[in-house]
Amino acid sequence: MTSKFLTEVQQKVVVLGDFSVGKSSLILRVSKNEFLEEQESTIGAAFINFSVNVDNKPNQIQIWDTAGQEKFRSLTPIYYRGAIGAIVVYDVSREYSFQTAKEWVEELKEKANPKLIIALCANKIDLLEEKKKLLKEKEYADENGLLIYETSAKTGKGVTEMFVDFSKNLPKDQGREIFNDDFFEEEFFNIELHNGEKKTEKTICC
Amino acid sequence: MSDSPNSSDFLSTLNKRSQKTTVFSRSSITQNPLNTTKQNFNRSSFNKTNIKEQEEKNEEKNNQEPINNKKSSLQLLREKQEQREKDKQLRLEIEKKQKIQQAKLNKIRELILKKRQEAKKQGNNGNGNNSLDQKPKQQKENTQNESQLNFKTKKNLPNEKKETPKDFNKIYPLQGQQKPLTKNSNIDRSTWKKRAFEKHKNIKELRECIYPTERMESFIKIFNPGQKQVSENLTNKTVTQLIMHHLVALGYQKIIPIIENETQVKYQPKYLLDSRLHTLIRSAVIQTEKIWDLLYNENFLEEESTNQLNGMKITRENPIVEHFVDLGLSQVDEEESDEEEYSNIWEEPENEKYILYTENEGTNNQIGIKAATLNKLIAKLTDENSVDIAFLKTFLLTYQSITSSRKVLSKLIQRFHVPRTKEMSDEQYEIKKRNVHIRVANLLKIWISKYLIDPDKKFLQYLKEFIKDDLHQSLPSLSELLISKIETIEKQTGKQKIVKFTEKPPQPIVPKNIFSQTLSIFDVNELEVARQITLIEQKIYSKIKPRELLNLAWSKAKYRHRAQNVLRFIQHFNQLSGWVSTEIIKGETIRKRVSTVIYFINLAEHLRKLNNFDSLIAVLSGLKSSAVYRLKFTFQDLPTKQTEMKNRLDSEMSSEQSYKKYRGILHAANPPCIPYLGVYLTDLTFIEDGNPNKINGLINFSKRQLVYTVIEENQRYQSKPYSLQPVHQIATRLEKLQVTDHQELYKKSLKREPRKSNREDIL
Repeated sequence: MTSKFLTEVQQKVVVLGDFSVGKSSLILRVSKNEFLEEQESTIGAAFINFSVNVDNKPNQIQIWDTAGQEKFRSLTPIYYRGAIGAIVVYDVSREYSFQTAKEWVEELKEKANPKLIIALCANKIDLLEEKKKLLKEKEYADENGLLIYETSAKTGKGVTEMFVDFSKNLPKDQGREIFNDDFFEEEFFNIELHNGEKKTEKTICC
Repeated sequence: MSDSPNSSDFLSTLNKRSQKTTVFSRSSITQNPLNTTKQNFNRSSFNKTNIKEQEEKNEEKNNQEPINNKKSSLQLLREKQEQREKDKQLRLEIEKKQKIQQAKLNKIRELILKKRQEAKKQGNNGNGNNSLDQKPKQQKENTQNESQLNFKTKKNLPNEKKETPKDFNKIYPLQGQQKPLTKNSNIDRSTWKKRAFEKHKNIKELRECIYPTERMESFIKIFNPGQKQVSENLTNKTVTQLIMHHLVALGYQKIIPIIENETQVKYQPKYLLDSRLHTLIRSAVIQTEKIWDLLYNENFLEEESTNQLNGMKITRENPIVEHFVDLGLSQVDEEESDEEEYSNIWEEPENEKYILYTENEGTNNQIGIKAATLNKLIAKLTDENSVDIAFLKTFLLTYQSITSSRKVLSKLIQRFHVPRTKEMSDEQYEIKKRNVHIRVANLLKIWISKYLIDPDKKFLQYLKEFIKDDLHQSLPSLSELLISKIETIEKQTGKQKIVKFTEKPPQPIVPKNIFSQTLSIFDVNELEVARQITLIEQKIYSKIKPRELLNLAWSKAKYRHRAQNVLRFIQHFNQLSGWVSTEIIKGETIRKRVSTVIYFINLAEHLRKLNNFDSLIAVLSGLKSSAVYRLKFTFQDLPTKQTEMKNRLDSEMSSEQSYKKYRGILHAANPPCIPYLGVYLTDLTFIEDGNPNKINGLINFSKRQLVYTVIEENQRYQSKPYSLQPVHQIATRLEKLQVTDHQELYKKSLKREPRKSNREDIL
């Protein structure tokens, strides 16, 4: 890929996880800040741009989600290639999805960018009975040097916080070579979070 | 067991083992019987290992003497064999003895029961515990006697215990032991079943059909469901009740009051337990979505496709699914349709409680419905005054995500029977009736001829009855047309449509050795391979039905059986891309790998020209798989032409910004095309998760319109076939591509070009 112009730092973050762990709902939640509420939505695309101010410098990240394409196993390396951050989502109410999440983490550790920042996202905590503690998961995250977040796409708890905190944890000097061309063309969502202020713009393409 | 360790080691392990076993047998006898179910249940899971241990013990005991004399291992073996032969003879005798003993024990059992009942009748308040304490002792004596006679008679133990309340809990765990213990202890038959099943798959399958619970069990073992749920529900009380239930089923009525007395658990009539069992299984099924996964895994798909190759399309419903549905355990088709009872279609008033229109009024006959009840949707579909074809299509393509075919039909029938109001004159009534009838018939016509895919027989029967009985009276000729259409559908199921091409297909490019047994794909021109791949892909792609794309069927375990063609299509994608990686890694030298890569890049370019985007992305992803991507020396040696080609294709098919570039290219392309399905799947996922199914309790129809736009686009590409000529020899090779597992490939890749190696070090 040839670089047309350099922009402010553009960083790629991928969201991975098993079927129906709520990946798309997380993205929807952070992009609209609402979850399945009575409003017509015309979402057809699966990425958002996210801008977080770190030390007074805007840090642009693009979040990629491949919800629905989980079965295209041979494509997944391409999604995480070039990413500087990965959020591996699992569903706390389904034990099995944690196993899949572990597999993801292992694959990422072995084959992805060694500097990749990996976060484990325990989603659907609203379904967890009486604040059961995610001890096993926390231990696993500790052992593997993962960030860990607890979210509920349904109630919105921890979602925006996760994305903001995660982007603050990303190294600032990476990703330039990955995103370059046509970046400022139409965008589906453009969320800007400047120290808490939030704007949402929506334009329709495709 | 068959291997022979050196004698001293063997001895020491033996001693340990025999110690262990004595402990085990003691504990099993002296175990406090008042420790109820839970412990036993825990134990049951270890039964198998215990059994093995016991078997080992038995064997070792038999051999103990020779070992003490420090005989060589060969001698040991020989003696073992002799022992086995002796045992064979013994076995017959033992069996006889067992029968006799069984009879004796039965008598003892009856005696015990009688005594107990008498004791009960005499002094009810007398502590059951006291009398109970005595019995196990009796039992112990019995068992000891038995074991002196021959330890194989232990088989009788559990049977004997059945009737003694203290040990009734053991029935379940111990039952499992019965079978293995009857085995001759010197022959290792512990795995005969497994081995037999491995050899004879058909027997296994048959057995699994006969024993569905066993099958469940093996599923659960493999995929270990959240045990919390089960253990929470499986309280001692429940288990005790289930055991009582079991005993009653076996005809042991008298034992029940004794158990009740002792455990303070009330026996409940059968149906209550049934429902509890159902709840348990249901929660297990819901929790264990993996069970469904297993049912519809790739092997299942494979199986069907081979059936198709033999010319027999077998569309069989999975027996387990049917079984679940019969038991009422499956919620597959119940979800939304049963949420509410719809009122009569003619009784619903027209107001915003029942129907919401879109804000910008629909132009040109379009009824812009945002949300409505099913009644209102059907009424609008068969409106006497206006016809909106787009609305009709949207509904017919997507109704399966709202309700069932049968429900739609029953609503149509309701709509058909126009009620007469007082204000209506005869004439008005006749006109209204006729108009509605025509609209209903028209809807049926479109439905039957275009959108009725894979209807079940009962539904067709129901539909035919309605047409023959009701519709025929008012619209005879149209009815006959409809009936004949249904009949052709009935005959056609499974048959492929014959496609006629307007264009003449291009002449296939075949190599000279096309008829050779050793023909390799790489002997064939890239263009021709691209064409044959496209034909195979097209065959699967064209089979994808709208229903497979509704409700995210491909991603939800319990709906996955609906999305077989989507899954097969994805499987093919993965296979193709895996094959590309496999073939590249096969090349031992850089030169070989470079030539393979060149071949695949040329192939990709041809696929691009054929507008087969799905296979194109598959090939490109094969070239970018983890194993291949890291072969930097191979890619360094690639000619500029191919490097440029690859970079261009990569950028065109890039997933950036949700495949923005690709979407543009696809829309500009001239059909026939095979689009990359993943994009539709992601779009559908976001539409599905981003929009509510209902607005104010009304069916969110605008959501279905969004779904419709995606499915409709997909359908457009499905309907235009490629004018290409299949070449059997190439196609058969493409249908069974060899793919190496990606972990294995990565390992191989590290061998081909090790990390931090120099160019010179590599072949």
